[in-house]
Amino acid sequence: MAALVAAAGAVTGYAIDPAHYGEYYRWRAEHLRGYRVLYERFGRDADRAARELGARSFVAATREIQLDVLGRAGRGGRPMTVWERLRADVSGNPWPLYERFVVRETLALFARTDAWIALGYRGWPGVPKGLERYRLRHA
Amino acid sequence: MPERSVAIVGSGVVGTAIACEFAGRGYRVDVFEKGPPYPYPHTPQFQDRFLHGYENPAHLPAAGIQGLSLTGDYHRDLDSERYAVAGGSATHWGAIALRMRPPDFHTRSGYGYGDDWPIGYDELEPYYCRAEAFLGVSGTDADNPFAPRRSRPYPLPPFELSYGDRILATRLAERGIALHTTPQAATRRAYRDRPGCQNFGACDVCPIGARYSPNYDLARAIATGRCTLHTRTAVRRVVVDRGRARALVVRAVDGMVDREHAAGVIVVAGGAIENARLLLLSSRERAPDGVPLSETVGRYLTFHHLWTARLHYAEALYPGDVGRFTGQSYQFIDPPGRGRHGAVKLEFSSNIVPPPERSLDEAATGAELVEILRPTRSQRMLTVHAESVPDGHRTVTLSEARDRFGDPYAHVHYELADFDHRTYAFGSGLVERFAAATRATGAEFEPFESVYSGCHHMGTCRMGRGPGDSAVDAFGAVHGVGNLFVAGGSAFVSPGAVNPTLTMVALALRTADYVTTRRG
Repeated sequence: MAALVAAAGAVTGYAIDPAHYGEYYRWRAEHLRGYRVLYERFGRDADRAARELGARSFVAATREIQLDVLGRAGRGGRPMTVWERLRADVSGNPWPLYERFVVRETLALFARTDAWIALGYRGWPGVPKGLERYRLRHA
Repeated sequence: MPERSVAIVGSGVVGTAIACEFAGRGYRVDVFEKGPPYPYPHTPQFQDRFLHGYENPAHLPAAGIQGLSLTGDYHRDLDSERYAVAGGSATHWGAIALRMRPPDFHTRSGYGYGDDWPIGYDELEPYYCRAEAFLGVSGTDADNPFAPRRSRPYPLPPFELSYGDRILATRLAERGIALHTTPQAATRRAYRDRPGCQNFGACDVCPIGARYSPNYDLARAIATGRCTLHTRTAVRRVVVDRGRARALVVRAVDGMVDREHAAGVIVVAGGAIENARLLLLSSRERAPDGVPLSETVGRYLTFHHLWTARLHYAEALYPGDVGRFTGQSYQFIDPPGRGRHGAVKLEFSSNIVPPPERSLDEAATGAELVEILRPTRSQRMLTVHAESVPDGHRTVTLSEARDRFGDPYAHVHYELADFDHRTYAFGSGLVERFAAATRATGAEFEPFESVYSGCHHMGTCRMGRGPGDSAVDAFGAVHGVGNLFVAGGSAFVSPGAVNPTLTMVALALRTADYVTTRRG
């Protein structure tokens, strides 16, 4: 779980609340088929990759190294080609799975939550904000 | 079969309103819903959607339940506009609760298009009051000079204009345009045992029941001990015997055999498309114990016509800071040109809609996501709610495709008319006026072809004076079958420009009143 939260911090680039992201990953690991195993493998693979880059672990690595590690999963927003997808499937390379089920889902969570704060909102949809101040724009 | 029993097809807001009325008056009530149970308050659904990013398959209808076919000029997925769950589409609605205006009931005699209803605003007004009390509507007419008269105040005070809407309202007022608050079935304060809105901004699946959901009242009806909700149970036919509806033919969605459910009164409340389909499936043309039908059944399908503009502003207006929609304008709801084109209501939504030119999937980091989303702070979506005209070329018939029981699905044919083109042009001009008046720096308006119904489907079993012009009478009774009623939007003669749900509920309450008091 620590590796996932560290990945969230790295990929979003914002000071995130670890509990918010941790709860999200925990629920998925407990309720959705395949996630627990995927998350565990991600932690091991991320650690291994971080050590190859000179860090003690993925969690302890600098954001630069973490992003470098996650770059193995990422494709800069570019959709995978059919050839890349096929090659990944045949080779057993797990990083495309991490891209889809860790990186993209983390960014999707960020988009519907913390991104609102970054845009200047008081809270994101799903957080009770009360009705007493919505008419007045806060500083 | 007890005489004081009613069987209701559909558990949406209309079926629920009728169930509550009958159960409250001592009737034995059975409500049939082909969709699955849907928990209330919608806290689990809220958690799935907003905390876990998960679509729970337990809340999806079984395979082979929905699959209508569609031809003509409407290009959206009509099945997805009809939520087959306990509580129906109003489990997800925006809860805008508006009254039609008196002229909307008489467009033929008043403006030369459409047809007149057999009832007028004055007959429906007391039921509008009751519908507002039933749903818990927050609102005021104090800032809306175009609101129709009312005999009772709103049950709850209004949601005031949001920060952004207040700025836009001031600018519009300088150009003589009124932007006023929006009556809505969400609790500005605690109402009955529903808590006051806390601005979760998750109105689709309000976790506390501040936004009205039929499941609230379904639970109350069930708690009387006189109402049973049969979920995952499809109604296949209405059976008629010697001029009276005798029973429904029902089958569990995963069942192998039909059974008859007898009732003294049968109310079909499954929405305009499914109501017509059920009656057509039950037609005497298809079975000796079928329903004698007017040739108008399935005709005059009418959608609410919505087109949305994206307006850009120099400053951040923070749409979505309050989840509820707050600002709308009735000013063009009875315009001077009405007759050449239809009426229009305009509404600023609180929705944040990511820019179409850049997908969120393009972002590789949070910072990139924020930059893609940043312009939305300074954009507002302005929706044109347009009146359409009833047209015999918009129909519900029986499809070639069949459901899991072998019954034909509905086939919808929907053509847009010249009248709709002219109404779109009128609305487009209003968008330009709004953009100029509010000092928008840019505006894009959806093309005509992208028309959206807003999940508001009406007509198909219109009310009228006899079987020559209509499917049901002014109280919703099927002509010739006095104890079989059609309730809700399918009984509309014409749609008006406003969101129709409050009118649907008012009509439902009027039907229940008629059956339980006047009819005896």
